[in-house]
Amino acid sequence: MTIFLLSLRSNLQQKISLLLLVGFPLLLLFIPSTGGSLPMGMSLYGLLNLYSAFLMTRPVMEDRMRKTVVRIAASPVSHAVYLCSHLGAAMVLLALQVTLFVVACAFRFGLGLTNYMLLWLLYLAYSVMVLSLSLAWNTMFRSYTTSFALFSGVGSIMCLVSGLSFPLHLLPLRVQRLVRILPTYWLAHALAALYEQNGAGILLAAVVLLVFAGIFLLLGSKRRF
Amino acid sequence: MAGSRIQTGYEVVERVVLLALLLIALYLLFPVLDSLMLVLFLLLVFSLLLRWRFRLNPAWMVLDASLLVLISLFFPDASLLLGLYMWYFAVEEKPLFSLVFLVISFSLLNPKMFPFPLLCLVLGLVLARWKAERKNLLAEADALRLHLHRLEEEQVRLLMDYQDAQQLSQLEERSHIAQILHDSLGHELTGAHLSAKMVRSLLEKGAVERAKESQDKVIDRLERSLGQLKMAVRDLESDPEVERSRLDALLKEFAYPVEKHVRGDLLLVPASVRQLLYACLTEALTNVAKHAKPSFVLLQIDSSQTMVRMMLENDGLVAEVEQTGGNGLRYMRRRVEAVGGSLSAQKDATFRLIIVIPLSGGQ
Repeated sequence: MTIFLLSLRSNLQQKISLLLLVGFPLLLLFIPSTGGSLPMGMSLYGLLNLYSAFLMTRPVMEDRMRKTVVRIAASPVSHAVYLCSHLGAAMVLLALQVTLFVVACAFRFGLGLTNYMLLWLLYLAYSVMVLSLSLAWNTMFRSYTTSFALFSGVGSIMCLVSGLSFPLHLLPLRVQRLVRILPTYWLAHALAALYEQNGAGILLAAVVLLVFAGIFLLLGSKRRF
Repeated sequence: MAGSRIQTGYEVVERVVLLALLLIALYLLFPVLDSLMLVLFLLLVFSLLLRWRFRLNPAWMVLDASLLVLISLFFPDASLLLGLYMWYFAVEEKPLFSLVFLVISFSLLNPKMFPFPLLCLVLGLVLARWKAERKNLLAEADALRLHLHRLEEEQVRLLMDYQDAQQLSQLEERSHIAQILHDSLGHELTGAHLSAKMVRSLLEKGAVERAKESQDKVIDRLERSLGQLKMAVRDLESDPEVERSRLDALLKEFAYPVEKHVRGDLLLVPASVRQLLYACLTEALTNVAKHAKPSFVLLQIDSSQTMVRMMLENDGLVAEVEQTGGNGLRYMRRRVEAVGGSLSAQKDATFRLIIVIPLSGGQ
C-alpha cells in the first residue's frame, strides 16, 4: 500500500473524520445570516476547515511520535515523497469537504447568491493554507495531544478576531487593522470581497493565502525526528 | 561534538536576530501597512525562508531585492524592507551588495527610518564575522581530527611493527639456541654416539675390558653434555633476580606506597609478556600519579599455566578526571589486545585497572 493510500485510510479511520468532513459542514448551512454579508455559515466554515486540516495532519505527527519517520528515513522513500503523499491525501479529503459544502450552499441559498466557482477556489486556497499551518504548528511539539490542546485555543481565538466566527465589521477598527497579519483574516476578507463582487480583493486574498501557505509549508516541511 | 555545539549556537542566534528584525520591520511598517505592504512583507519572509530551507546562491537574492527597489520607487515606504536584504547579504558574506542597497534605501527612505537599515547591516556584519570565525574553528577542529586519525593509524602501524619485531626476535632467539646447542653439545653428543657404537662392536669381538672403557667415555661425554646444556639454558634465560629488582625499584620509586602481591610462578610467563606487563604497569603508575591522590595502591599479579592477570587498584579518585581513556591507556589496551589479552578499568569506590593475558602454553 502506498503512503498516500495509507494516509487516506488512517485519516478516514479517525472517528470524528466523517462528522467533520460531512456532518458539520451541512449543519453550518442552517446558521442564519447577519445581513450585509454572505451567510455566517460560510465564514464559520473557515473554522471548521481549520480543525479538519489539523486533524488531517495527525498521521504525520503520529509517525514522528512512533518513530516511524526514522524507519522511513532509512528506506528508499524520500522525505519529499513521504510529505507529498500525506499532504496529498489530506488535501483530497479537504477538497471533497469543500466541494460538498459549496454544492450544499448552492442548493441551500440558491445559485444567485454568489459566484460559487470563485467561492470553491477560495476555499481550496484556504484549505492549502490551513493544512500548511497545521503542519508547521505540529513541528513545534512532540505530542499530538499537547499540540491539539494549544491549537484549539489559539485557532479559536485566531478565527474569532479575524472575523470567521464573529462579524469583522463589529470589531474595533484598530483590531481590524491588527488582525490583517493573521492568515485566517484573509478568508473573511475574501468572503467580504466576494459579497461586494470586488475582483481585486478576491485575487489579493487568494494571493496572500497562498503566500502564507508557502511560508508555513517551508517551515513545516523540514524533516524532524 | 564541539563543532555541532558551535554550529547550533550560531544558527539559533541567527534565527533569533532575523525574527527580531522581522518584528521590528513589521512594527515600523504598521502605520502604513496596507494590503500591498503586507504582501511585500510576506513575500520577503517567504524568500528568506526559502533560502533557509534550501541552499541557493546568494546572488539570486539580488533579483528579489531589485524587484523591491522597483516597487519602492512607487511606494517609498517599502524600501524599509531592503534592510532585511542587506542583513542577508552581509550574513552571506556579500557586503558589497549590502552597501549598494544601503545607498538605494537611504535615497528612498524617510530619514527617520535610517537606523533600521543600519541596524540590519551592522547585525549582519557581526554575524558574518562570527560565521567566518566559526568556519575557521570548524576547519581547525577538522584538521585536528585528521591529525588524530593519522596518529592513530601510525600507532597501529607501530604496533604491527612491534609484533613483527617480536616474531623476528623469537626467530633470532631460536637460531641462537640452535647455535649454542650445536657448538656446545654437538661435539660431545657425536663423540658419545661413536663411542656407543664402538661399545657394541667391541662386545661382539669379546673385548669386554675395552668395551667398558668406551662405555665410561660415553657416560663422561653425556655427563659433560648435560652440564653444558644446563649452562646454555642459564645463559639463555633472563635473570629473574634482575627483573625482580627492576620491578621493586619501580614500585619503591613511585610517589605513593605500593603493596605488592604476587601469586604463581612468574618465570612460567614468557619474557615478552613479562616485558609487556612491566610496560603497562609503568604507564598505569604514571596515570595514578597524574590523575589520583591515593592513600593506598595495590598491585596484584596472578599467574597460572593458562593466563596471567595483573590488577592495579587505588582509592585516589579525583572527581574531575576525564572518564574517557587517554592516549597512554588506549595504547596500552592496543598492545595488550595485540597479544590476545584484555584491559579493563573498573570504577567503584576504588579505581581498578585489570589486565588479563592468556598464555599460549595453556591453549
